[in-house]
Amino acid sequence: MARIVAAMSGGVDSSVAAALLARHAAATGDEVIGVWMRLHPDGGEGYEQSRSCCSPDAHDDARRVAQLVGIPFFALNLERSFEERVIDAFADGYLAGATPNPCQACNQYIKFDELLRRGLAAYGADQVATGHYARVDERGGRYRLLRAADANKDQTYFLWVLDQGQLARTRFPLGELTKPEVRGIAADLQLPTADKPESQEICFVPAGDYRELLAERRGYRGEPGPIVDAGGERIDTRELAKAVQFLHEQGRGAWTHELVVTPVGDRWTP
Amino acid sequence: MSIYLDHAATTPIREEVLDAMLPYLTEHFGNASSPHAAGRRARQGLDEAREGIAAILGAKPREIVFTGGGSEADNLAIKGAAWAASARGRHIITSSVEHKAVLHASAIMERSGFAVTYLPVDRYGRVDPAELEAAIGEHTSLVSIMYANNEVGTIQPIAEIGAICRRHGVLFHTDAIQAGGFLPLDVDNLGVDLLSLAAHKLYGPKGVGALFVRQGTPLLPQIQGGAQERQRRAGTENVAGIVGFARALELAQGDPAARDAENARLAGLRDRLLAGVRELPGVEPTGHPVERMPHSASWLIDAIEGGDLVAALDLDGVEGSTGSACTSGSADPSHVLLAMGIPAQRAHGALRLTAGHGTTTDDVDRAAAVVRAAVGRMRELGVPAPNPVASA
Repeated sequence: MARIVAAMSGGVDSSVAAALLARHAAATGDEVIGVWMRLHPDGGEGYEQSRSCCSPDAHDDARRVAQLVGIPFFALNLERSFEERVIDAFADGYLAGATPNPCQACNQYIKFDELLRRGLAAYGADQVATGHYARVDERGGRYRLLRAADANKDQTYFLWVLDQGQLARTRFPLGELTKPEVRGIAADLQLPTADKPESQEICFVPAGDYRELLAERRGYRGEPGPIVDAGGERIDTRELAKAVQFLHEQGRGAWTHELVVTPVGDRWTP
Repeated sequence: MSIYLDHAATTPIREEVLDAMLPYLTEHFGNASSPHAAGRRARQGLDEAREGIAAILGAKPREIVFTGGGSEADNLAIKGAAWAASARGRHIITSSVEHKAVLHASAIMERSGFAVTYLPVDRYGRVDPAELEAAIGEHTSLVSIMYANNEVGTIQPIAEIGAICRRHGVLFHTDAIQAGGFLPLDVDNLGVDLLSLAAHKLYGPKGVGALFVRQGTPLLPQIQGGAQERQRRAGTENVAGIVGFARALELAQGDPAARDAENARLAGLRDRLLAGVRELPGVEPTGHPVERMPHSASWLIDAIEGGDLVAALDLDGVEGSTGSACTSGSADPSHVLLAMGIPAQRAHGALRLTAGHGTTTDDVDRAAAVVRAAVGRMRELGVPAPNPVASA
């Protein structure tokens, strides 16, 4: 008999995942515990309309679904870890010239680490289930992360970093389903989240403008960084613009310099 | 069947209370303001309830204002009295451990230009009456100090504070919402001008409260729209709820000897619970060791996130709280514990268990065992808790 924490964001995917688990558990004697995570403070004015998983609406929806599918429900506050491991890492990553993947960091450190560990300790739960579109199988004690049946929705890109220990304790109830099938199940079960629109924005940047977040957290003022060549020599941007213009007009890609873009104040050295 | 140990959050309605209420939800459905037989019948229930509650408070029936709950009573007291007495001055004194209903109402008054002093408390959560007296100035118009704290159960020296306020001619309000079912409520002995109560904390229904308003106390109504409650609180009276409230208060307080006997029984359960949980290392009781609510046990537990522990206990069949149902789900540690000088990190490990009429010795023994097992498991599995393990 397993005790499974179903991470519920208040969206349609995690709602259906929880519902499917609860139905399955009723037959197997497993126990399912719905957990909604508060990951960041809701942003006040206008935020309620946001599609983010941390709005009061999302909390309400997750709770209602838990009631309807008949599982206990807890709200778990993970704001501190999320701020440190996801939001701050996102801001620092950008300023270091990287392209951060905050959803992957959230999966790695929050959903499949802290939630899993706290779920195990506090709820006695040994598995975490989410509404991700992905599959896990096991062959000879090795766990493999596999693409979802619905290639349009596959989310393995956000999950690749999970290690063997994490994969062993992970359930993806939607792995074999397509998004239209998931919406169909939600409609059949009359879940309040059945018609909820897709959320694909970064949940802690509801307006979609991450530069504002960098300005707020790191004092970023939008300064451009220097452009240097492979030898570390700074390229005159007016010359560069002329070169790009020339190449554009020629319609071919005959570059005479290898370009390396570096962060503000930093220098590339071979 | 779960063991319910969260009676400070709310209580089940007693059977006698439900019996008293039911006729007013069915046959005696009238509007107490209507000039016909149905209205008169409802009015009779309302009048009798008001008399019953007044008698227990040693007050006049006209001094009882019914409200839609405890928070509304607190808001009416703070805003209503502060505005009405603003000719004298615009300074309010309260404490840093009040319920949010008082603290947030006071904050609103600050935004309206009032000065508010939030008195500190000692490590047990008690206000120092001498410090309170020193804070009273020429412009002080209102003092509001709770009778008993909801999170740590500490009882304040209300009669002493009442005498000080009287001496300085300052209005005195006490939030007696937690104390209502347990401690003496005679308003003259307490020396209060305003006193808030809520029915659901004492085996009555939710959504009903009362504010005692001493005759002659200035009060600006906060809800307009009708002449009910002598123009102090508009709105059709919740007659069934009020009748239930009166019956519940009578059952709790009508016979002081019976009340004291039940308090003694509860205190025995509380001490047994405290001792049972104390067997764990890294556990410290919070609140005053003697001047505390008879049914309330509370602790700081090292290396545990209180919210996780409450969830763990729930799944293991024990229903408790971190301290306040009204602030659960928040990442911020309790303002009460912080005011008592407990560092924020340690304050995350708060647990409160509160016994009630139905609680037995067996219940508290089993609950203590469940707490010990859950804390042991959580510590062993190394939950990332913000508060460190005790070195001892």
